Amino acid sequence: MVNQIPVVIITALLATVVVLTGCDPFNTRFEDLEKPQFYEARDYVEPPAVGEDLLILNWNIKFAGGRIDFWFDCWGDRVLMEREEVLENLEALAEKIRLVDADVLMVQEIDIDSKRGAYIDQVQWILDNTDYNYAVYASQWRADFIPSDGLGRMDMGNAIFSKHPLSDGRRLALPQSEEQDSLERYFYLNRNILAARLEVPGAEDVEILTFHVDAYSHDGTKKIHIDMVKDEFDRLHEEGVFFVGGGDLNTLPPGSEEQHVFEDAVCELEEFMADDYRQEEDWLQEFYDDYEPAIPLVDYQADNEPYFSHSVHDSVFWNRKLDYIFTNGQFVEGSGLTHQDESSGGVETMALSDHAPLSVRLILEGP
Amino acid sequence: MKRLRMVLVLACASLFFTIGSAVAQETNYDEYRSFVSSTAMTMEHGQFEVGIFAPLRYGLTDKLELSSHPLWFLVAPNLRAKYAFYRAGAVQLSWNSGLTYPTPLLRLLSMEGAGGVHPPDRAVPHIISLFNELVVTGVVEGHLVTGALGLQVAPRFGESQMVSIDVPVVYARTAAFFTVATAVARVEVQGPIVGPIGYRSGLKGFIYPGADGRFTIEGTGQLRWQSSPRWLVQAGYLASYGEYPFGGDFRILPTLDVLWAW
Repeated sequence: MVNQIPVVIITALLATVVVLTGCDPFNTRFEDLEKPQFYEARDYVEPPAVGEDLLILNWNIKFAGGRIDFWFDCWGDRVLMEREEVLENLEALAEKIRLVDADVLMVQEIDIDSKRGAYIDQVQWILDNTDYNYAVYASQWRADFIPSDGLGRMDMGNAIFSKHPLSDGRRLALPQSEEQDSLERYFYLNRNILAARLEVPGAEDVEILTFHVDAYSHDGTKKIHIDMVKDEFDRLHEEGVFFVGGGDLNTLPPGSEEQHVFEDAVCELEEFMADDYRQEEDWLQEFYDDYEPAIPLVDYQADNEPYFSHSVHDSVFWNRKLDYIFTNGQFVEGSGLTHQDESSGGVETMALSDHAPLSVRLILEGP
Repeated sequence: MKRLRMVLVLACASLFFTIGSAVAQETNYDEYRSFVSSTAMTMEHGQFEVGIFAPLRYGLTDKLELSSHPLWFLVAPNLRAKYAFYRAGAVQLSWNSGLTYPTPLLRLLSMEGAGGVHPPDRAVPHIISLFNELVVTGVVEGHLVTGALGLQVAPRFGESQMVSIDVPVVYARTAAFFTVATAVARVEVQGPIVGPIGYRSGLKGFIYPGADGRFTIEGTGQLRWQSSPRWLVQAGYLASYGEYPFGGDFRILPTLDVLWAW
């Protein structure tokens, strides 16, 4: 009995240590429903008086990576950026953001605490270098350390910026792809829908949603994510909530002429191949049927090219549309614009990200 | 930083007082030859000791001990020597010198995919990591009270595009690879509790001027069960607070080892 005392003590000590460190030692896990992080700008900027509509801008900013050839695009081998590179890219993004001067900005792929982004909190940086006063942020890829490809610490996600107050933020988890083994999944992306209520002075509140669905999965996860975004739209609509949702749906609109064999798609590894959309022809049809898109489907189908918003490499001009904004209210007719270049938005955007910004004017009158 | 300085000053003062009182005492050093790797005590001539994670140690003479981590040796050749150069009463002073060549390990870890702790597109130079430490241990009523001051420098040869590995425990020990030097100070106590059960507890501080992170302080606590003169099992925790390139971070990690002496 006496001989067992040390074993008991050591076991108790280890159990204490395990409890103290928790079962999530790299801090990668999320609950199904969580509160996002709320931000405020260093200096408050008095917003302009609200008129009859709000300008909404959506942009996947590629974590201020500009057109650096990263390893996952299969065009290069870069993993990390220098601080100067990140700041230079952020300044270029902010210049475009200031020029558009939207009331609400929805962003995908923004880093707040990542080694690859020199640990710059890009949400706070954009707040402090534009006219936005408030932001909410929800991680979609978070780990204290990722022991793969030299990535190290990671915190990337979706964000909503606004000149007016945001409240009631929600991070709705989207399920993970199950293609990888459990260890890889532990460190992999946890995508989400980020939602917050925009308090518009003198007008009805607007629920803002942003999302970034799976790009690479071949096990049906992307479709599940798209359906969950649609389900959230439907739930809000049924509850009579006035909403606008924008993001990167990683698939093409119905009626797209080119659906595979894009000349900038060079990945041979199956896990990074995301360029064959032939099985996804009607995945977004219900969005167009039930809600108002920033770019009407009839306009897109008449001529796809002016609405393309993504290309993998900057040697190839925008060659597919992956980015969308929908509402259950109404947009100002003809106000949807894909900011492809100087002629459509005033700035060359090819160099700023692998996605082009998309803007539209939302009429402040609920459904 | 002020609090850290205060803790270090108090720890040094109490260590000075404790060890100073041990100078006047007589002691039988042979009682303190096993499982004392972090103290100023050296192993008996011809004696070996190894742990699952602890280094392989060998008493070359009664005053000179050599050690190396066998698990790491193939990918990070390393050797450390501890020389006991002064004794007065129950106090012993030793000099610890170590040399590690971590380049093969770092290049191995610079890989694509899982296991890539360092980016594969960044060149890792040849690094010679040198560590020197003055260690003083006093025997106070059967307990070993140790204090040490050390310096790690790591000259680099060839093209270097290395980036830091921003993980607790690892960052402090690799910071010298990016900066001029890392200064290390530590205090430690080990001794018996009751019967075969003993303890080991310590505090260790790292300062690396010029790095993006500033300092790390580690506290350890272990219970030790020495089932025979040859075997020892120890388990406990390592608590670490450090300032890294991303900011401050506190961790508690479990520790476990089995040591064998012959």
